[in-house]
Amino acid sequence: MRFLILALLIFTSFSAVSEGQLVLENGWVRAAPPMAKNLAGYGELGNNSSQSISIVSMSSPFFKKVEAHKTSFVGGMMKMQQITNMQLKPGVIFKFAPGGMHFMLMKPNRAITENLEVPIHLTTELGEKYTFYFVVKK
Amino acid sequence: MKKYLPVLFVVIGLAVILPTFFMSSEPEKLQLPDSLKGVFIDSPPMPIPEFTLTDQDNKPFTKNNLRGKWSLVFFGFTNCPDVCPTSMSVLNKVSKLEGIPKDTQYVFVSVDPNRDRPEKLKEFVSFFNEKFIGATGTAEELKKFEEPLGVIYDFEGDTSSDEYNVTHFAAIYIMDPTGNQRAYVLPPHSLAQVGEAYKLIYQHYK
Repeated sequence: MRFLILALLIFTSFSAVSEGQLVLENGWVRAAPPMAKNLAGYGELGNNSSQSISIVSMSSPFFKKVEAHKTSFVGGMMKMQQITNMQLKPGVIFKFAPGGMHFMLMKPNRAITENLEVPIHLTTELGEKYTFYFVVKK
Repeated sequence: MKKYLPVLFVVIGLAVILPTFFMSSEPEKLQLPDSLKGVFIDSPPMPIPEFTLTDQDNKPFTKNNLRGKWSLVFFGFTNCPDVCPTSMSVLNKVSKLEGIPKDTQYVFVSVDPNRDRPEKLKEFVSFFNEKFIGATGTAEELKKFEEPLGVIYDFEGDTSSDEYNVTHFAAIYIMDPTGNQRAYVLPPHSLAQVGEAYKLIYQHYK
């Protein structure tokens, strides 16, 4: 019986991990000169659940403001726009990479040095909070 | 004999003029491999007028600084979080490649002189490479340099605050030792694309 309960506990904890989950892989922030007021974070953000997940806000204790932005090039012209509707359908992976989508990290309140792990909090429409760590590198 | 004199003059004249014509003529336009995307060659080079900017050490940076060596020039602003650092870091990697002249200059020109004072430019460029040059200037002087290159930009948001963004043309320009534009490379930039383009263009036009 004890074994059954344990097995059940393990099973439910595993299913809790794989259900309703956002995952981030290879999170990194591009190291910038100390005077930089804006930095960019990259990584692959995926939805491992069976339902759509909408991200309604993002923040970091190291920055005044965090937003998702998209860079686009039209005939060599660089344009940056905020992504306001961040909805990840099940199985979708958003690739945040240089020259495309990025987490725009504005006004750092501390030195953002190489190898530092920058926490970024994402809040979903249902009020779930996730914290992902982005390592600073060149 | 007298009636052949004009013909003789023409022949001698051609013998003098033709070699100088061929010596100063433009080499045949380099054909780049199809795999190299977004690289455009100017044949002959696009002339750049005289201009005077200020560099990261508060010294004048003029067209004369472009003469006598090859230069790779990128226009942007230091508050730019994604594209400018990406292209600057590509330029740093290009500077370490074999097959390109070691005295190549790498120049970052800020189109945002209000925020990018020389000391800020110095901190920005030296973060990527100690030898990189940063320059900016008045709108009038910037225009002289930018206009023939086709650099266009626009300020978005409240420019009296510190939070405005600059939408800008983000090509890397390859300038030859006459100080004129030999080619440009469209973004997004990668080491493979910019490095290979520069190597081939330098080898062909040096």
